[in-house]
Amino acid sequence: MNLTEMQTDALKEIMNIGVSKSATQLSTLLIDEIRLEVPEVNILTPAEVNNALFINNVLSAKGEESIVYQELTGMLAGRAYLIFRGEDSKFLSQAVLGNAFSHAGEKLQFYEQEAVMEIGNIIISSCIASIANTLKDKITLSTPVYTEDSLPQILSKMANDMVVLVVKTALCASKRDITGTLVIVITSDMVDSVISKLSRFCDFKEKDAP
Amino acid sequence: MSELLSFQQVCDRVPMGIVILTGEYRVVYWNRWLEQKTGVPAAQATGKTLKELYPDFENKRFVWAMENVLNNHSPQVMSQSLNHFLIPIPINNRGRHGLSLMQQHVQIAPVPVPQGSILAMVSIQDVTENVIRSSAYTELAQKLMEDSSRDPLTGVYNRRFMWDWLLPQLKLISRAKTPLACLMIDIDHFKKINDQFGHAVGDKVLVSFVGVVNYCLRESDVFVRYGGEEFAAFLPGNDLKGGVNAAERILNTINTSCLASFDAGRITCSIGVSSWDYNDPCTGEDLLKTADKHLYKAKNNGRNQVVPVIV
Amino acid sequence: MKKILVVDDSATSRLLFRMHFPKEYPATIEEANSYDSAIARAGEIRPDIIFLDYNMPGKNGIDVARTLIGSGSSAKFILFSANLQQGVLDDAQALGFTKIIEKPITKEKIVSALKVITP
Repeated sequence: MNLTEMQTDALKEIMNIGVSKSATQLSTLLIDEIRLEVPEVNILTPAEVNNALFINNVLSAKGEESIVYQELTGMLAGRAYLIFRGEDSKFLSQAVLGNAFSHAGEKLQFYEQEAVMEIGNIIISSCIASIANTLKDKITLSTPVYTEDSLPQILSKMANDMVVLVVKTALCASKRDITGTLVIVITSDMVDSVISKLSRFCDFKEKDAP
Repeated sequence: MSELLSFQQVCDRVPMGIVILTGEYRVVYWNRWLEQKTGVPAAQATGKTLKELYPDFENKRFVWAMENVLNNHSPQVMSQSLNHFLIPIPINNRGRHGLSLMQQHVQIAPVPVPQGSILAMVSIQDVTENVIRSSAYTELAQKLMEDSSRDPLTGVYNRRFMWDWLLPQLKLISRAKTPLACLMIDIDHFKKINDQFGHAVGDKVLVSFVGVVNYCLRESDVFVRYGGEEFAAFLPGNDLKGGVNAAERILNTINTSCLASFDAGRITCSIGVSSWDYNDPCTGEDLLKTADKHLYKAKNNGRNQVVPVIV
Repeated sequence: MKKILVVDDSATSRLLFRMHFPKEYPATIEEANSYDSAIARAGEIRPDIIFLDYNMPGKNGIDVARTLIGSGSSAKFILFSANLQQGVLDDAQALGFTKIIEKPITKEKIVSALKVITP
């Protein structure tokens, strides 16, 4: 599944707008400066995703991540996962809730999970809205769910015809690094329709530019 | 059977707050739970905005969430941890927990209605009890943790805490690309003091020594009783030069301070310094080993000095 | 005739800018895709107006403005970004940016920025 350079660039910019908007919101919510990286965008098969995420250090060795996900229906049907890298989710809630929680145990406490869920919800809805609005289509989201699970296991259970849109970006709250990776899992025929919408969007741009 | 139930019948029996807002943020439905908790009857709430009902209502987060619900049909969560509450509802029993307002977990969902317009259903869960319980639990856990991470005599951190702190710290600074200085500090001839004046005096020296060193350190530095009369200090943000400067400051202050019942200058110390640098990272063990090696050198060179010397 | 420089790492974004730029406005549009190329291009063409993206790999749009102002540029700066955190706004205001536009770019937004410069 290959995107042209122009399509990749367009998708990157769409996600960049989504992530940046969520950063604006997170910065108000957390009363903190959020630094951003320019997102990297890839379309991969489930098997490739696991490799790519391991190489990029998104997945922890202990095999369990803090994940927030929302179901998608409409132009994109599938699921959007936001993975907070292993210990980063701890740093995140520390940044949010203060140091009182830093040594409160291995697993995230309920209120930390709740905070992570809200943050994931903000990032996912911003990015999905950016896709839907740019490509002038509708995507409906379910309410967010928080889970601690292994992404490779989730992906291994997926049907073979599914493809994965991976958006890697880092949101850093003040001195603490939070790496959130957005993984959108959709069926391959969906990808075709996204690509055709993207290519129409790109064509349209090139035609109209002076 | 289900077709016999009306929307209102159900919503008025749900043990949570349900308010439905129009695209102009006006209340079209206010359930019985909200009437009871807020004291505002539905008839009075209907047609008003939250701002009109609560003049202090100023909530940018809520506005952003509502825009996402109304424009993008995307459900939003507003956690208690980050927002505390949406509608200010006073609660009793303030003395027990220090909270004066109900803590709320809020979800906002889009509700499409005929003619293509959209309403926002705001559901409000009372999570005050959870918050009270978990903050009591955290306080307790924190206390236990504090106790088991500190040296009972001097009150500074112990080795157990040091390892818990050092490893995540190294990960953090390797990403932030900031340096960390490590100081190994040993009181000179401490055994002699103990033998000559007894352990009680030795303990007093340790306590006042810690007081003086603590005075020289910043709040962000971590000071650890490493064992006996040996201490370690970690100075985030300092490279080797910064660490040596701090060590010299400590050495000079000790030299000019009266410790326990001793005159200034009677008690001295030796300090070995090492640093963790992004360009040349090492393990926590190696960081301590290098500082220890330098401390050994300082002892061999005649004590009361810092190694390395930086000109 | 105004000389305009658009600085954005995204080719899509630069294209959208050209696409939405009002045809009747007398201007030439030059592009740069990074901090380094922006500094070089600005040195060559001495633009009157510079549209800057904020989030770019390496140095950001505010950094570009800071360097150019430091080297005596008299250009008007306009920031376009979806990242409108208070810190970013403060930086832009401190450097005297003429206007801040929220991405995505539309014709109306470009027109409103140009109006501030040439009423």
